[in-house]
Amino acid sequence: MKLRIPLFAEFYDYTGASRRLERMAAKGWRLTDVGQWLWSFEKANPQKLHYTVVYFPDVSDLDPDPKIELMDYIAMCEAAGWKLAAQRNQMLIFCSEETNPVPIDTDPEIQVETIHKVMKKTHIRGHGVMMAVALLYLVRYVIDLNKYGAYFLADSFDLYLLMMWGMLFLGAAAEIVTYLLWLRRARGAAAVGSFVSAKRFPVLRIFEVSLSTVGMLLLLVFAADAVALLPMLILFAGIYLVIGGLNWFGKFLKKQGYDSGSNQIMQSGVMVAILFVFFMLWATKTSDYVAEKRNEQAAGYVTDRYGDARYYNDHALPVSLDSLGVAAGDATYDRSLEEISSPLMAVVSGCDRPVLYWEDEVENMSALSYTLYIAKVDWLNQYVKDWAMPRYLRFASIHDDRWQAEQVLKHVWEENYLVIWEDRVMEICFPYAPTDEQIQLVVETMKGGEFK
Amino acid sequence: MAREKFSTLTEQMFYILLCLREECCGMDIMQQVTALTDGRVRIGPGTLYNLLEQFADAGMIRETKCEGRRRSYILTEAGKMALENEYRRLQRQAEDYKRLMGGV
Repeated sequence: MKLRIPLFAEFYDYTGASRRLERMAAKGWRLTDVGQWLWSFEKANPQKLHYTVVYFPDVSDLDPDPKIELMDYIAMCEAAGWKLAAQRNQMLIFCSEETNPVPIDTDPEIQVETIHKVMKKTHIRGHGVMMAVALLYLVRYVIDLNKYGAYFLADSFDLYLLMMWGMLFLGAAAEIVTYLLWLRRARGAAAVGSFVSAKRFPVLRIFEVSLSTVGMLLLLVFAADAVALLPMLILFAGIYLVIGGLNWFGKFLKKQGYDSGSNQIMQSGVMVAILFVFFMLWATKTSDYVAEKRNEQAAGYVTDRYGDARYYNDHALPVSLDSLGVAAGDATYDRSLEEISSPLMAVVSGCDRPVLYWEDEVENMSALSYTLYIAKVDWLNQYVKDWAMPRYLRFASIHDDRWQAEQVLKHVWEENYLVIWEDRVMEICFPYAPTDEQIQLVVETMKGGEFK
Repeated sequence: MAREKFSTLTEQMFYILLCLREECCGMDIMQQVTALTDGRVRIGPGTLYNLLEQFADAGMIRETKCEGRRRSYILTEAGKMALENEYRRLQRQAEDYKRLMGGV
């Protein structure tokens, strides 16, 4: 009977890991293997065993053959009654059935510096890279937030990624900080001959695992619309396949006799190449796929002067030329309503205009378009206003009570209005100067109504 | 600030070097030290492995033979000097103690 569980211990928490293994042995579970996330056990008779975790730099799971130095080390431990139970890279776990075995490490200074040597090569470097990558993405998302403002806040996918990269950055920083704090304590204690075990933060581990699992489920359920769901599933599946494939590739190179350094370099090169090609293909195909699906949902298409198909919709619009009593021109009209929404913001865009609105023959036909930015949380109201207003150049503030708004701005020569309500901002472009009745209809629909 | 390496020796370092006054297998050092000190000083195999490496890198011991996994070492002149210096340091400490504490 086998068992595989996460052990939730810091890599350098040799005391915590040892105690947990001893408790497992007392319950009848003996360690057989250590994986990246899970530790494997097999059923055995409950027994009082001693476990100890030690660290041996300069070895790796990618070494084609065990190094002589490692074999000497293991032999010396065996001479002292310790048997190697499992190994993962530089971490070795020994087990002893003796009542009072001599600990493998009896000099705290040597132990601390050995741990630090391993940590510098592995976890600190890895967490450092993660922090750097996460920081680059965070900077990019902050730039996007500044540039796209309400659109960014209304996109659940972007918000999720911002949150995820933020948590990855903080998580990596927390790992490094907690380790350095332990290192300082451990060195101080070692100078006077004492050992210091690491503080355990199982909550941190549980949170990390939960975040990635729950976060991914939330993303799939709430963030992806029906059209984008399949490409996102393909993206996640592709990433997992690449990671799994690299693992196999590493084992293949190990069997071919490549040393761990060459193995890692080749794996990294292959990973970069595959991910680059995969993302390029995925991005291109996704774009084509989403466009195709959207076109399938369209009401029809017309052919422009270049022979290209231009698709149009016939959505039910909250405000349309027809509801405003404005006659549409003699052309095929695109009546589209799009909404992007997140827990923080919604952006609703509507248009009622000729499909080929840029062509000369329809240039003077009636057209209506509007965008409504709705803050779903109170503390974003002012943000939306501050973000929206500077974007609209050539708009001047006017006094117009018909809009029942805090502020109204109008384009200097077009019938375009920017209306600032308490919890939302609307830009609307009329074909002609709107009448009182038309403005009233728009206010009733956009300020309240179905967009509350 | 950690001491300059091997300028002073810990008990474990001291007894390892003492055992290597004659050719000795690394694995046997653990039992020898325990026997020498009546169990007061115990050297773990991991610590022993690391110290033997460090002593060899510092030129204080040299490997004499290797039979499978059993490697034997012996003190070099540098190692003897380090041991001698540590002995004299401990002697001076003991004398200072006797002088000030009344020779108990």
